[in-house]
Amino acid sequence: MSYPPQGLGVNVSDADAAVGDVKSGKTFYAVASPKKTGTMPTKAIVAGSDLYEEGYHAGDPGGLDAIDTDLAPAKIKKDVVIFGKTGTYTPTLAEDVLGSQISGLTTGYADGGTQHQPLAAGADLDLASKTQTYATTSRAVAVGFINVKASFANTIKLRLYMDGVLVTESAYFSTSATTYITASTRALSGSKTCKITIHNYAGAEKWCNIGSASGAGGSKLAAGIGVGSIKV
Amino acid sequence: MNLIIPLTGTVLVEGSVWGDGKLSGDDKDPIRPVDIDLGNVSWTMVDTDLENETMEIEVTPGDTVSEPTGEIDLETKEPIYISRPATKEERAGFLRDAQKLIETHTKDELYQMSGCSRLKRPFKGKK
Repeated sequence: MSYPPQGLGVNVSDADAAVGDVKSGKTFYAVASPKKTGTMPTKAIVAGSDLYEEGYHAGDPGGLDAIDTDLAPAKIKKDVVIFGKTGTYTPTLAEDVLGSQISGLTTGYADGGTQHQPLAAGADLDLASKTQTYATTSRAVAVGFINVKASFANTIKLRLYMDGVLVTESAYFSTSATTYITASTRALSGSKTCKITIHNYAGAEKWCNIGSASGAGGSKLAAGIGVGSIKV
Repeated sequence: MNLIIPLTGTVLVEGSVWGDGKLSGDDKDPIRPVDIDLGNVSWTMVDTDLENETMEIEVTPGDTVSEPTGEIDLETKEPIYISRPATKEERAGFLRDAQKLIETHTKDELYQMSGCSRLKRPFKGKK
């Protein structure tokens, strides 16, 4: 005897829904067993989570931005499209810190404009430093300069450190009086120190003549550091 | 031209020089490429790699050359030099020399040649 008997009801022999296809708690009739109960779980996407689980989703007439109000153009980077929302956000940059420091060392000669500076083999001599407090999102730049004449060729270089990291180094100082400038950037946050030094690569003590800031004896050296930073 | 140099010094705060900028070195033993003389070149840090304990630097040739004249200053007893602009060929040579120095030696050899210790990271893995 066929099911349903001929002339009675609807032929459901080709029905292919399974319990996992039907929302949990809802019942349906199938061929093998007259009545079944669905097991598809009801799920929902929620703000603050990127989970998109398998199951029944009721949806939201207000759209995804009704579920998570952060899905808004003003909070998305400009021209980036997320779920159909085109961003308009452009970060605003602002000045963070600005500072400078001339070397605290002075020329030793009463009538001269330079400081005859010896430097041990492999040694660093601190010339100037600046400590500033940087914002958390800060990008800092440091610039160091020196007016110097090396007594020996191919021996001494200018170094720039930012918070205990060597970030840039000059070529050898010339044996003619020359002003060198070196600069670098890195991210800094909190109270940090940037400084310039000179370094002797020779295997023996060498020296150089560092100019004075004012050209007079006993005045500060013509060496210094400037720092600045911008923040978002 | 960029080169990768092994790092020495002491790390006080683990992190990066970019991003949050947390990486901090000991002022008495700063984080730096090993103290090996790259010659008449200047360089600027590109990035640090604490995982491999190296720094990538961008190298630029020096602009001037100082040459001894063979004479000695009678007062200071120091050799007398003359300085002049480096030629294009000399500048290319400065870069080649720096590149050869780094790329023909292993990391261990560079530490040995410079006399520098490996990067110290006393706070690695600690919060």
